[in-house]
Amino acid sequence: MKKNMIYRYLHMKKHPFFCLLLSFLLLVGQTVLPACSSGNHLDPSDPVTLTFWHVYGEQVSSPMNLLVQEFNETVGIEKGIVINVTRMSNASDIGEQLLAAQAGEAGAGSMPDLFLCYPGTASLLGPENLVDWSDYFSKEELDSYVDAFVEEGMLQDRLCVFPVCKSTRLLYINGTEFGRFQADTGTSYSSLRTWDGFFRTAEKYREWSGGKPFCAFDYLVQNVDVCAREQGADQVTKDGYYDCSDPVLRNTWKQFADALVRGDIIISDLYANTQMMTGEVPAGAGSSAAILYFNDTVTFSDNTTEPMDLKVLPLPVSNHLEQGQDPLAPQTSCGICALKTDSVKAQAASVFVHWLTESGRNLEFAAETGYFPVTEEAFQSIDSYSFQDPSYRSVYNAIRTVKNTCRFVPLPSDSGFIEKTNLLYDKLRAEQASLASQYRNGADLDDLESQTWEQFCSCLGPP
Amino acid sequence: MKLPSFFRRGPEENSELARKRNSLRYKLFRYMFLLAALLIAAFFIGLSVIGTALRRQNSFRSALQMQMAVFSDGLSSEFDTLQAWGLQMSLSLTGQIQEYLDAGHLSFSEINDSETALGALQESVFGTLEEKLLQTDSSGVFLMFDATVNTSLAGAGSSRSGLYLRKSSPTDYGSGLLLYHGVPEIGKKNGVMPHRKWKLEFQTQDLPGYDEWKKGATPGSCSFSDIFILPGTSDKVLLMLFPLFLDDGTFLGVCGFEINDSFFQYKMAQPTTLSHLTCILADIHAAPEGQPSGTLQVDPGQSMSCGSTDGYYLAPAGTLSVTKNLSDMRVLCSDRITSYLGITEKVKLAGQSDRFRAYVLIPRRDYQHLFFQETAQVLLIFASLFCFALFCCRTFSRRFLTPVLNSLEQLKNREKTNPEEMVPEIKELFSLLSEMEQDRKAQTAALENEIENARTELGRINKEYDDARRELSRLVYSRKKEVDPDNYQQFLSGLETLTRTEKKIFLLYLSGKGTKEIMEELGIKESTLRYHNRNIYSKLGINSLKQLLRYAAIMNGEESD
Repeated sequence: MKKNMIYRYLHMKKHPFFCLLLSFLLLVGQTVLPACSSGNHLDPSDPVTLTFWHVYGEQVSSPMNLLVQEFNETVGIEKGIVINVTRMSNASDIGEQLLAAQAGEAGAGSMPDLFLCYPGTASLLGPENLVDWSDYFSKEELDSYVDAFVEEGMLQDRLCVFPVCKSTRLLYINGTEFGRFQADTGTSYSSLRTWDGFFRTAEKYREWSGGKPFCAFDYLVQNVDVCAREQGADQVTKDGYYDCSDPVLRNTWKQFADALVRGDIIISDLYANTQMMTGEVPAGAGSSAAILYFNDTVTFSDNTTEPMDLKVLPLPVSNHLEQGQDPLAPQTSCGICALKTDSVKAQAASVFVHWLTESGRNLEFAAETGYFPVTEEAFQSIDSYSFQDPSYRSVYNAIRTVKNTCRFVPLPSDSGFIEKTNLLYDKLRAEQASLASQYRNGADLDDLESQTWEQFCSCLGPP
Repeated sequence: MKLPSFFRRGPEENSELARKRNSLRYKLFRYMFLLAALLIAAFFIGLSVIGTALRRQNSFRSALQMQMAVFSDGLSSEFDTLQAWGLQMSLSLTGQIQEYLDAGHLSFSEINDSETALGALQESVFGTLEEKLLQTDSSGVFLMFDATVNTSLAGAGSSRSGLYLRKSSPTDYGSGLLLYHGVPEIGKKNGVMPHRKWKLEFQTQDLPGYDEWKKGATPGSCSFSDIFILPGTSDKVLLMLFPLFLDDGTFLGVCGFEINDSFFQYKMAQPTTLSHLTCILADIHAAPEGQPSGTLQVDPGQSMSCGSTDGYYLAPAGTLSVTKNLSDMRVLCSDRITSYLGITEKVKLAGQSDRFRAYVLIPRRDYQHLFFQETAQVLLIFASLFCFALFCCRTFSRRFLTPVLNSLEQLKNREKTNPEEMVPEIKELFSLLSEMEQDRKAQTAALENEIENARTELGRINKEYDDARRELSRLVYSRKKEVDPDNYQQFLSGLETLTRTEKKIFLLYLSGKGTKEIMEELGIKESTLRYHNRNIYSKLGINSLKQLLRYAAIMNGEESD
């Protein structure tokens, strides 16, 4: 009706005054009510705020925070987007907090608009509650990312977890300490290429050091998993549970658990790098991204210090690789998700993720954090990237070796898997000193190892 | 009379009522009244909206002031509470240290170089520190002994043993704690893992102004450190320092709380009606007041900021400079990217009134946008009012004039008009004009009859006149024959000899006047008239008035021929 009246007025040549008046009103209306009918929901004069939880730089100086600041001061100002980092933590903690926030638990706070999490956590949150990134990335754009990384974020045919960067697991060595050990025992870094050599070295180090464990593991289960797969246990997991009847898995676990019971290795207290910097262990098996957190020195209880001289190696591989089979390397790390709220926030999130994962920026960010980038172009460029810091150079030399000699395998990320492995780590951490003590006091290694296998199966085996 | 019958009207009454209702006067009044009512209503609505817009501008200023009051009250409350907790903590820790020293019969200086003693002391105070950290709104708590575990090391003078516990995430009260400084085994024993950038001891050179602070520290005092970046992290921290002294004046060290920027941002986030709010707490002791306007700056390294509880937070990009001081403590500021409008005042925190300044800012573009929006709204309202008035005038004039014009048009086109559809005044006008037309036609017909009658009479008179003339000619002719031509000739020649008076009298006689009338007209006596008569008779050669008239008639008849 009103549209007809407007149409009639617009076409009344004998009333130019009304046309002018209507034009004025429309102009004022357009000014007063901007962007009401436009497809672009973002308004630079009324920026939308996205709260953001991420995992890059917990407890330390965060390269992601610098990127967020850069975004806010450039594209954010231009398009009307403010990214507000309201939590920095590890993926496991963020996963727990997200679930608590979604459940409305007391003190959990509200859900962030953007967050980093594992696909398993995203699955628990419900893919239908998350933005489907494929609505905001064209097919051509998605083709520019490494296929396997994009695939990992697909949940129920929706791209809910967008890859930002990926990590693998590496072996960090305190070069100063290992140098002394090497000088005394003749053990070299090459002994750490295989798991057999690694465990022999660990045992030898414990004996050499008077009982100190050689290595702290951040993600022991992942190492067992990959090692078992290398030995042919392809179907080691099913529906998020480990097949405890698999003999390969059983034997692989025993190899690791024996070392744990003897006290050659330990489950890290929180992160292996903190135990390395207190001189508790000379080695740590952890994420490639842990490089961000290493100190340059080891500090002892009398406050004396010595340089860490960090050496970074690829993880050992199984001694029982089949002929021609590539060793495996875990491919991990979370991706970015956006809570599905309104179209303005979804569009703002899309702008941010597009910006964040541009090849050049993605490569630079990955190189500063110990990750590898996710776009094809940046992923290939990592081989020729020049690193100034020797520790980072060491990490990326190891990453290049892994990239060029191993096949990446994504690790289980089913709902609740992280929580179950954390539960196992808590149990083993609580018992490891006691197990080692019992072993030293003459308890049977196999009996003690069997106890750990029971723990493994109770936590990660089928219900 | 019964009431219903009062309203029950006959057809004539109804017709009269309808006529009145449709009359131009009634319609004009009705439309003008409606127009006036609508315009008044629109005016008041517009006035109300404009009033709201103007009130919003005033309320914007009030909101800034209110926000500043809330922010500064929140700051005072936060830091005053921490001061109280800190003083209590310092007393408690002093007591515990004293107890330990007494139990071991040690002097405080003897704990230097003793891993055992320092470890035991840390263990004994760990619970107190952990408890205070969990009890208070702070991001960290610390106790730094004025002692080191190894005095033989280079730099031992600035290396100090102690415990420094931090919350792993400032946003969660239930989250874990981290050991930033201290013996890691003690931390682990209490479920507190080392921080990623853990160091065993404090380095006093990393605490800005520590040496000066130590010199001036007194028992029971509370001080603030400069805001600084905690080594190994990107966290900006502000420490509240409480010195520990034994009764004999021995300086034991310092304990206190840490507020870091993440915690400040989370804890001090403001509930607000202002969009895009940024609140800043600036340490101004290094930039004393009294700087001229334009040079007052807020160093990002010496300030902490927060946003609003709705999630908005955007810290100023780089140094914030006050570019203009306005009234009511309002200021214009700008950083590298954004200009702000805000309000600033000194805040008294933990008894220190000249140390900190609070800022409550919003982007200037927001204010300008608001102002522009309000101006546009006012313009829109006026335009709408104008448009509405125009529309009303147009509509009402059309509704008023259209029937009149239609009636006239119908009249012009000689169309048959339904009287019911006509405006009464026009209908009456038409009736009047019709009656006048009929009168005019009747008068015209009467005049035409009169003219015809007059023409007939004229013909008759002309005929009579012609007959009379012919009779006159015949009589003149017959009389002339009866008159002596000499006498008549004497009469004609005698006329020229008459005096003026005699001619007058002669003509009066010819006009039929009698002697009496002539005497009155000329004002003469009878004797005088007789005298003139004799002269006239004598000169004309006549002897009677009858003869005079006869000769005169003959003369007239000759002249008319």
